[in-house]
Amino acid sequence: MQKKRRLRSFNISLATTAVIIILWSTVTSLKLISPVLLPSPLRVGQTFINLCLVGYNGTLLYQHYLITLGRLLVAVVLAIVIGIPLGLLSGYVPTVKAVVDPIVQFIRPIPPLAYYTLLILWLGIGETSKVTLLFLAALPPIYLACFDAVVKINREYIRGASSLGADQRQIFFHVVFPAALPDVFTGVRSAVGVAYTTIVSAEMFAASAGIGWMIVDASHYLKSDVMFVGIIVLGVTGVVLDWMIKLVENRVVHWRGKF
Amino acid sequence: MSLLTIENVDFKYAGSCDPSLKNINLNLESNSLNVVIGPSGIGKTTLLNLIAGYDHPSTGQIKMAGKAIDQPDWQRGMVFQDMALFPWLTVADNILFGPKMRHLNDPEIQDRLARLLAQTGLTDYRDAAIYELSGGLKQRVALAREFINRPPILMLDESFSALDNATRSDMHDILLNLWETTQNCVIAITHDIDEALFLGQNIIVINQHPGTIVSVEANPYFKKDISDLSGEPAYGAFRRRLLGLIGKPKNR
Ligand SMILES: Nc1ncnc2c1ncn2[C@@H]1O[C@H](COP(=O)(O)OP(=O)(O)O)[C@@H](O)[C@H]1O
Ligand SMILES: [Mg+2]
Repeated sequence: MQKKRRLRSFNISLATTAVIIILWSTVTSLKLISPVLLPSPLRVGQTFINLCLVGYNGTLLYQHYLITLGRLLVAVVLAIVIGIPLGLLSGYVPTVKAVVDPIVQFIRPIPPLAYYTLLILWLGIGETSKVTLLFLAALPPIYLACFDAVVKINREYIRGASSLGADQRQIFFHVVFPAALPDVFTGVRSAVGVAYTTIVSAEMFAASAGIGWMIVDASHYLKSDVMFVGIIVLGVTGVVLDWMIKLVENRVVHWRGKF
Repeated sequence: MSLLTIENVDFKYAGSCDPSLKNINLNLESNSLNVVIGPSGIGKTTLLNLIAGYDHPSTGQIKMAGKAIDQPDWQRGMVFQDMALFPWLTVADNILFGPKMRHLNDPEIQDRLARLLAQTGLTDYRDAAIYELSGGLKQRVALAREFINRPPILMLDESFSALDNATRSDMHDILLNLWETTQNCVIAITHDIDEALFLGQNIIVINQHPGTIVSVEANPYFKKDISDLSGEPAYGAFRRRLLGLIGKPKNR
């Protein structure tokens, strides 16, 4: 039953995609819009192959792609490694909350681009400032998800564990952490999302490679076909990344929604 | 000296104007099965929280084996109504949680686990996930998780009230069986008079506002089958008297 419904919704999505591509081809083949603004699907396909084989600005598409993914990965891993313990501890130990919470709350609402120039000034134009920008974008969602998870934890889990002989430290590792895990995953997913949407900003300045840089650079020369390839690659990758995290999540947090 | 002594205990929740419990005095012994009964909202759970060490008396004191209780530990186990089993652990790992935290992993614990699984009919569910179990089976895990620790005091807060009659009666048998092998002091809250009459060697009635112990009754019908008793006038009288004691609370 559920499989059937999922297949149905997959078919609908497929049909929607097809309709969009057909509309796109029609509009471009009838020359309703200038190809500089909207290149044809065929043209975008050719450019894609060309970028793969010849490259953009001397760098092959997959190299741009790996550079971008590498920056994202390093930033997200750092945000996970720092954000999870920070958020969990902040929810569990009031003193930690008092120290950390105002800092994160301050960073959270600022658009990353606003402090990017400062980061470049401080950290230089190399990789460090780019990764730091993505890291600062990814940290608050993870931190907040972990913090909230601890605050809303079932009090009886903690009380029960203490009556079974667990001390505060054991409760943190054996109860608070696993109980928070479903929300930790939610936090990681939104962190990846936020870092991902910051990618183009991070590669806007002082870069010479990366998908985000390629899109920005192509826009200067009105190479809309290259921009389209970049945007589609980013979009598809975003969907695949989220799907991969969900896959890991379903394996690790097998009890989610079942209790 | 009693295992548990409660002396002149009052308790008021922070931020509430009236005390929830007033002038509680009680002594409980090892190897006793005690049932606490009373109207809802009268302070039964509050009393267990004080004994467990989750909260502290506003006045008076609670001592276990002569020592004041200051924080929760394994010597006073607690089974909550919705059990609070850990869904990320299997049945066996839930039961082994206490021993693991206490760094007990000798073969003796494995023996206890096997025995408890058999006593609670969970042997086939050893590696099952908690969310795969029915309410009755979860309740068995919750009991086994406590009994493996052999706490001198074990508290149950309306543990069986959500179960259907047949399952509840199975749970009563399992509890009695486990209690007989460990001979600890069990304190079980219920709001069901028949459950109290079957399970309680002693029936402790809490009533009045603020809650206080209005009577401690030695129960002559402990472990007796109601169907054999229903015609007996003395039983009917005892049951009616208890019902009178747990009736609508009066202000003092
Ligand atoms: N955390 C709390 N803060 C303030 N008042 C509480 C709290 N928990 C319970 N109470 C109050 O204390 C009284 C006793 O509650 P409780 O012990 O849960 O009753 P019972 O278990 O007998 O149904 C009730 O009036 C309830 O509203
Ligand atoms: Mg209660």
